[in-house]
Amino acid sequence: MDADHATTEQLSALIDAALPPDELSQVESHLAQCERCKKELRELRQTVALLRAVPPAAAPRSFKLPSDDDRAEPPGLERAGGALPRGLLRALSGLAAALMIVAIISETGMPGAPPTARFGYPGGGAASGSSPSAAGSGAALAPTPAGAGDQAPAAAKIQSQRSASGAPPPAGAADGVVDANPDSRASRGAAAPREPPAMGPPTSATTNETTRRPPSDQFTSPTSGPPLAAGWLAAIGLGAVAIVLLVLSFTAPWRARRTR
Amino acid sequence: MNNPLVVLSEERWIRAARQGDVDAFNRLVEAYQDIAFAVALRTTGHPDDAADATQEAFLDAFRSISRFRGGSFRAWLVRIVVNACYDLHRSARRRPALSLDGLLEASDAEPWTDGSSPDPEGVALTHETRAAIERALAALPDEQRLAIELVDVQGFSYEESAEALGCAVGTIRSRLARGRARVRDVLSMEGNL
Repeated sequence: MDADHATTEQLSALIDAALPPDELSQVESHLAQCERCKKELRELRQTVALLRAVPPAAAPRSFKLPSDDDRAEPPGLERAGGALPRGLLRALSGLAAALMIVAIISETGMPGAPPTARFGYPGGGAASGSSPSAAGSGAALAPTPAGAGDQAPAAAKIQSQRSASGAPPPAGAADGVVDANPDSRASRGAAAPREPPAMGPPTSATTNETTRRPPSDQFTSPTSGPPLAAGWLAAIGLGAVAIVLLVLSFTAPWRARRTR
Repeated sequence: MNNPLVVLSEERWIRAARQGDVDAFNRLVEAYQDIAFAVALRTTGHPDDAADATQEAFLDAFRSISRFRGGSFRAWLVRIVVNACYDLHRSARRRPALSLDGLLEASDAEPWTDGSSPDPEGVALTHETRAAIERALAALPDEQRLAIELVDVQGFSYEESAEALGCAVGTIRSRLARGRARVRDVLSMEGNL
């Protein structure tokens, strides 16, 4: 029978009534005739009884999380502090972009549209070689700023509304081209220092365009004509505001979580 | 903890906490902060570290409560607590180990020498025996000490303990046996058995 001594593990499990039935009967029949195992079981039982008598430690203070009045909770922040400003920031960004388009339209919309359109197209085509995302396709509204993100739909809407409701169809299409190009130039100029990664290729495209532009008097005039310059300044400022708001709308939730 | 009424309201709190309800989650904190702290104290061996880890664990639990897939909530929580303790350990904020007296003091909410033990077998620990037990436990490997804390002190089942410590039930069984045997050796050597 010595070879069949119960293991400490079996005796320990026996105390917890956690022995499988087959092991249980085997261990019990052995215990009935083995003093050594009986003694070990007795000692283990005493040990377990003492361990069970150890009073569980109690929390020295409350570990409750700060509740609604103190908005320090991550989910709370994302819910109330993050999501709403994000939507608000995006809406304001879109508004600024729309105002920028309006400013540009009021500056460049009427005078000498067809010539600029002619010169604008090849430039856009050349740019498409270096940067597909900034490329001007055949459509009048295509050359929207690549870095302006959410502004693009707003700009498209304004322009399409304008071309639909304003001038007669052929002139309207030409308008679109005129509007779109300065638009992209303005917002690129404003965005370049803010968003280097998105701006890399388009910037070179812009310089490409600029070098191609000199034939067009449209782009020499802003420096000479005072009323034009004011309009461009407004457009660039609005574009910058739109981009800052947009960037903020992306970083706001992250910063909120950080400050927890 | 297996009281069906408790489980029922617990499920309600968990569901509300999943929706971001901090107050509902705080009901769970209230119910389990003693267990969480006790496990943290057994893991870190220092009350301040244990408190830090417990707070971290509850924050973490609130953040990730959507990943709780039912079963034993306290087992799920204990697992987070143990992980928080090891994270704390890694981050070099570890404090020097506490003296035995400090440990005894920290784990005592109320005096335990007066024999008012809730243990059904009515075992009252003398100060000497208690100190011997703490010494023996402190010398155990973490996994054996935690198995004893969960099964013997907190009354977890083998299954719950296995869930909490992320191992098999058989592993709990053997860790528990080895830990108990070592404690027995210390106690019998010092004439406490």
